[in-house]
Amino acid sequence: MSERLLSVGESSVKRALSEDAEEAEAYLISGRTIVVEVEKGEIKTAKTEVVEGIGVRSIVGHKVGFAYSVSLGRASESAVSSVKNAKSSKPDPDIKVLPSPSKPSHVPGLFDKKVAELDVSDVVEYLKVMVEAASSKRGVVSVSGAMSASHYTVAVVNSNGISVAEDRTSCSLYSFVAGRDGDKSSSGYEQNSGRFLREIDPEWVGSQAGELASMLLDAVRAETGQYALIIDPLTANAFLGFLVSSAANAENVIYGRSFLTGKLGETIARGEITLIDDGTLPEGEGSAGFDGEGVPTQRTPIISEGRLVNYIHNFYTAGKMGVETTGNASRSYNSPPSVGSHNIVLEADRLRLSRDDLLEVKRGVLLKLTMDRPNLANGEFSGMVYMGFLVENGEIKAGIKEASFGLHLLDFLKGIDAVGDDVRRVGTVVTPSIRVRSVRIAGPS
Amino acid sequence: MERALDLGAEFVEIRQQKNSINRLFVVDGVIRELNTGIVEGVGIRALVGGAWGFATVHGGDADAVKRALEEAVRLAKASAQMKSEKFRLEAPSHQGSWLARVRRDPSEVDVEEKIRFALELNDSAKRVDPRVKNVNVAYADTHSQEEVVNSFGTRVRQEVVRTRAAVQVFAHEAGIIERAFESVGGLGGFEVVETEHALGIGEAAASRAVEFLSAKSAPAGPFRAILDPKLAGVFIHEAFGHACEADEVLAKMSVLEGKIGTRVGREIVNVVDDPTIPGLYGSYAYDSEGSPAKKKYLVKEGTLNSFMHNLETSSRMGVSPTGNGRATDYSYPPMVRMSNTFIEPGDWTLEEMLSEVKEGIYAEGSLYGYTDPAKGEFVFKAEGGWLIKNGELVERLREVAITGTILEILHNISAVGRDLVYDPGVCGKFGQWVPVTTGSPHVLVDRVVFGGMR
Repeated sequence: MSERLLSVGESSVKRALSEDAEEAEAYLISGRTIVVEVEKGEIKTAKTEVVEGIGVRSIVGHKVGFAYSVSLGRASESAVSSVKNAKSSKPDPDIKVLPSPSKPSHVPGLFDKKVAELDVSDVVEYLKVMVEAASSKRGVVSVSGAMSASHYTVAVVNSNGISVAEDRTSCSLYSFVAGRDGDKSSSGYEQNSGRFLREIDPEWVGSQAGELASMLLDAVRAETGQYALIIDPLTANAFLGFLVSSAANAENVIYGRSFLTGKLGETIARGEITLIDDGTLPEGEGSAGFDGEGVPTQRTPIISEGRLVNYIHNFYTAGKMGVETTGNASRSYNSPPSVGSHNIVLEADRLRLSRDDLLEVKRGVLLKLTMDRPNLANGEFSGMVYMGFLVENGEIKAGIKEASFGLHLLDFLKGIDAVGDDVRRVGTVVTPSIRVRSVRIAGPS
Repeated sequence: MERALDLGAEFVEIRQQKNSINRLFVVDGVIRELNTGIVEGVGIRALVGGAWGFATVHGGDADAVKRALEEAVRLAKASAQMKSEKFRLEAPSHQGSWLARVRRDPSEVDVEEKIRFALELNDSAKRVDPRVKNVNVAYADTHSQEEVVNSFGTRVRQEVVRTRAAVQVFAHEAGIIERAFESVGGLGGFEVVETEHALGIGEAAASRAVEFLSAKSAPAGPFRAILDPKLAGVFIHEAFGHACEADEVLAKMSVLEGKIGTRVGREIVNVVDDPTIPGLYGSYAYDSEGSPAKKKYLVKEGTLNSFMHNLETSSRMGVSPTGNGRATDYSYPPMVRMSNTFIEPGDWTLEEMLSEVKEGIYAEGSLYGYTDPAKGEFVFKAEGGWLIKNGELVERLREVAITGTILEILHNISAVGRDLVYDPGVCGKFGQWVPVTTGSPHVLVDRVVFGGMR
């Protein structure tokens, strides 16, 4: 497949140049996705999708144009449209040239043959195991979820000589469970995902989600006040993921949309905290040999021993800020490159405690899941404890309901007083549980 | 289609679609995206023993379509092994075609003119105040042709154009950054963005972002509150509308299960889902399953009146389809989705409502919202608001969170305004995004919990 994508990409770039583009680039993807959905414990829909698309970017006199299509058969048409759009556009002084070729990073573990060869009947078996495990828990009345498996080839070709392609796979399984006991109701959630099929443990996902729903049936309301907040890796993306992918995103920093604007070089976290964007992590879900512009990925410290040391960049934002790109061009065939994170890794070894010691607080909330996200502009994060527990004197006391939390992300970074020894990869975030010393929790009254 | 039935499918649906999309994105007066896309293909669904198989093809190659059809039947059969709850799909067939009226076809509007429009929105926002630091203007038009045929004999064609523009503004002062968002959109051509209201969205967003600079954090706890039309509209969509989707009800993910005909709010509350209103962003004549669009009352005079259905849920619940089976495009199977969902106007003015509030919060704009369907709890993030003291708006508040439960909240609405406003948006459900409209007049809520930081 690489061969075909590269050849379509090369002819599209040539076509754009023949239409008077000074520079041109093609981004291509081709593959297949299986998705099977479960509702009330039974299969609802099984779906396969042929994934295919090409996006062409052309530059004419500091003006940029773009066009895309979902079928490679229209590649040439997209090339012509992109040049036409470039000609109709207005100059952007920051548009210079496209990136030059360099060798993609060596990243092991991006492709799993088992995922690529997975059939829908195999997926059904995984889901059966998940549903059975979840249903066996007390009070579980309904199990929903889905499993997906994709294999695809990505290629980037540009008129500066970049011509790279890579095969990747990804798979995921989640379980969302409803619990009921008389008037009491609850939800439970868990997931597995990764590039390799062995990351998926349907028995574990189902029983964890079921157990959570079961435990949360007996939930209490929290009194308003200050609590220790223990953030489970399951929901750390809302904190750490947001910090890197949105707040330290150069696109948001350049235009002053992010509260981290102007803070480069400042101490924004405790000295024990290092936070890294790593595009080269073996088997990482956010790993790749090259980014959406064909630039090699790298390991970029964002916070190093408490100091904000880097933003993440693509070629455009790096040029605008006068630095090197960090290989964080994020891309789909249907839009121009944006800036996105790879794998986000928290390192705080000097703050590590055992799980028991981590829970050793007088009064705390263990946050398993929040659906909220922080405010990019001011860094404030107020959200609902979607799933969580009340912790008292080192013991998990009961599920918590109708509680909200509020803190500033800078207070989060400075207020971390310990992390657990339970490092887990959830999606692209790699972290242990994180404890924040004192956070305001509001009850319903 | 006969081939699929021969292979053992009980029902087959073939949906062919071609979308042409033009997008423009301007940041601080610089064109960052001028993009033309073509999304074209076929989605095929087959039903076997109560389980669905779905396969898609990009482009329109006849052999590929035939293979996808066989794949859909094979997937349905594989799924049927894990399905004990069988149902028979029963629905009338429909034939027809609809071409939505467009006054200024965007494909005939010069790209220069679209650029000029976006730059004008940028300039109008920048002019508001020197503290306006970043202005982002997005414009998009989509021309969509869709044809649905199924084994019941349905054959429906629909051709629509949707146009939308949005502005997001960031303002700065002394280390504080605040933001505000405005959008306009509808079923129609470039005329949708040529109204006076549309040309004013840059200024409106910029003014609000600047006002938020001097705003305080909202207090936490239960308050009497007035929700502005934008927030109340998103609220009724998220908190109540989703719970009225029959697929959620059947999945035991709605607290409204079994509650048709019961009181869910005060008599002054009427909630409607109506895709037939001309020109709204969530309007259509046929849904993605070929069922005709219909107006329905979800809540009538405080009583839960109807759920929203597609072919599957109406068959399983023994009612008629309501024309709410929608898909993002051919590459997704249709699900139960809302269209234009709103609270019908009452007879209060905003001044009358304010005079009812001794101490409370006026909450406005919506950043996002979500619900826990099983528990019936909801959360909303409002862009900002005002503290109300003795009927007066006394202090600007920044981002506020509102929480509550679906079954209580409509009982707490004690006044409904006469000033219905529609707002375009996109609604996401299981990764599928469809154009919708939310709408409401101002509403007065006797008790709603705010989760503030103060």
